[in-house]
Amino acid sequence: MLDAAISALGILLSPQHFGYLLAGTAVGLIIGILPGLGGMVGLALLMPLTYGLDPVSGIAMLIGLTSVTTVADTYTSVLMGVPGSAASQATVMDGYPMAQRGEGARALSASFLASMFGGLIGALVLTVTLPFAVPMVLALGTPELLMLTFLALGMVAVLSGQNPYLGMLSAISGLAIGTIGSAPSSGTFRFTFGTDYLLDGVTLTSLAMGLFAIPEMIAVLSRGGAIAEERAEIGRGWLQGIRDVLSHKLLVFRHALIGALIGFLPGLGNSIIDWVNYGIVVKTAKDKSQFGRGDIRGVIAPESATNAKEGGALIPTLMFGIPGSGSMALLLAAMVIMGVEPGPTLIVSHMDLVFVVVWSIAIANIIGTAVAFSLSGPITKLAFMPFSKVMPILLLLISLGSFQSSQHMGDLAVLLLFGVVGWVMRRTGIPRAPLLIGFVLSGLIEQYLWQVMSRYGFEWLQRPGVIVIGTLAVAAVGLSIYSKSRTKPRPETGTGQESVGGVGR
Amino acid sequence: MSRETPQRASRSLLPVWDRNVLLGLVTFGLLVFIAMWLTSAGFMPGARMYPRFVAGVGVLVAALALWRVWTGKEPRGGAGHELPGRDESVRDVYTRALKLVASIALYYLGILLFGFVLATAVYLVAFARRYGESWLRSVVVAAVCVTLVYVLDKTIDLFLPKGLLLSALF
Repeated sequence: MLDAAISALGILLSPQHFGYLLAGTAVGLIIGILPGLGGMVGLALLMPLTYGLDPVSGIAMLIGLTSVTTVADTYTSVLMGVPGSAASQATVMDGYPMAQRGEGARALSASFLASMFGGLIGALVLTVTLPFAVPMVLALGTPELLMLTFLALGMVAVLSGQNPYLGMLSAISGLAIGTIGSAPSSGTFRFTFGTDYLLDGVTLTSLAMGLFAIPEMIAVLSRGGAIAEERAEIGRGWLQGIRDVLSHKLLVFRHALIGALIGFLPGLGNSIIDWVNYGIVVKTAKDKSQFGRGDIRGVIAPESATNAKEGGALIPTLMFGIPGSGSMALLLAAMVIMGVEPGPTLIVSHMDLVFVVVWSIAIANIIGTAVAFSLSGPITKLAFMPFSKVMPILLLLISLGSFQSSQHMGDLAVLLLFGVVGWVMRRTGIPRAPLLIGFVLSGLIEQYLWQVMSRYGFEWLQRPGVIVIGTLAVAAVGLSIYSKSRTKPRPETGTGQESVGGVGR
Repeated sequence: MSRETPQRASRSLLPVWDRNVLLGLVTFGLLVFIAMWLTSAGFMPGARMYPRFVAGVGVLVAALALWRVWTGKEPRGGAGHELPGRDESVRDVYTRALKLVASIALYYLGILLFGFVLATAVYLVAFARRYGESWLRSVVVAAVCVTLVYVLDKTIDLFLPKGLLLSALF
């Protein structure tokens, strides 16, 4: 394993691969800074560019992007009081009050450094898990993998939003959209409505960008294009922020571990990770008086957790080929397109590629943090740019990227159709991530289902592993629905404002 | 199914417009899953099993979701969800969204007829003018963007649609 790690570092540091990692990191920082966008939009934008790349370059670019969007999204949270993405909502609670009293730089530097340490700890968690991964994945047969996929999809469906039934409907809709095109087992064309375009099914890039990029544009511009009416100055305290993180080392470590654990569990991720960690730091603090008024611990805890979650989320994605979030679903699909099949084969035969992922997270986090520190002035100007100036250029890039998927006007029609559907889902509280994950997993589930039914009939349901995982799935889904049905409805979001980059949920 | 009452409608946290749209969307989903179940009966056995499985589960889940929305039990609030702000005029938001979608649809129609470069240039200028930019700035931004796309097209072999009308003419 050590050989694979060293070999992967050598490959990644070659000029070509390192260049792609830098490019992904740069795009991730820009996407993270721009209000209203997030890692999902960035991944969907870069996906068409990975089609012709070798796996190491493509993986480095995409991992570089996902690793740093949560570093950069802090700017709007701290300086404007508007979450730059779903994962930085809790940072507003103490970051914005700090900026209002002239300590924006302190909040930002603490946030960047905590994010970096969080990302590195997340990569470490992924590395430590790998020795246990090989025997575990080899112990699972196709029936167990099928049931594990159902467990993950069920958890994503009920946990992604506040509405478990609508989440399940979203996931099933994704599975249904995945049935369009030719059937893998017989080659029969299904639900193509006589069009050539649908013979290969709906393209993932158009669907993902439609679901996640177009709705953000419509949402911001349909509110008049303003992100926030007020903004604070960057202020002072860069060095103090660094000292704050260093004096709260254990806090960073604890919340990074919690973040990695939440990332590992399918369906949780962005929507709750910051609030869970904010809640924990408030509950366990001796002096709670300053929380909500600008306590630096309220910035450090959620930021270290948010960035550590990527390492945790990659564990089920790489080990079993089961993504637990929308961004992991896109990453998984991109890897498949590049000829890499996440799951047991990858873990057993291509450990070097797994370490490319680990090193990419670590290096991207360090570079991203250095850039965020050193270019804070110009970056802040970019964060304050009105969305109406960004939107047409973004639409151009999205349309261009979408059209490259199959070079058919149908791509643009699908993009717009799912853009409207995504916007309606966003407004009405239907989580979008389960639909994307259902779509990505649809082919895999059909393949597994066909294999187990052909080989075992319904007897596959009697295998001990299947019974255990199935019981877990029913219990997890049932308990989630029960606990959510007992939660009292609250008409406002935690910050009192809608997240502009509500992606990945 | 029980009748809609004002109490049920008010129990939901969504504005009436959004709630009606949600009801329509879930009902549409239910109908699609029923159609999927019926249509997939005509497929070969190998191609039939999975769509029938998905459609069967889909009908059950959609019916359950419809009942929850109809009775005002969904969606529920809480941190991190995607409910809209209550202070905004929902009708205006829908109107603005519809206009934006229509403008994007027109842009794509322009791409289909006149090609990517020309349609993009016109769209960028029109959009910038709509949001108060000067003619000069709008044209410069559009020219820079279109040039960049053209350079990308030539350097990394992007495929840009030429447009039906322009292809027929030239």
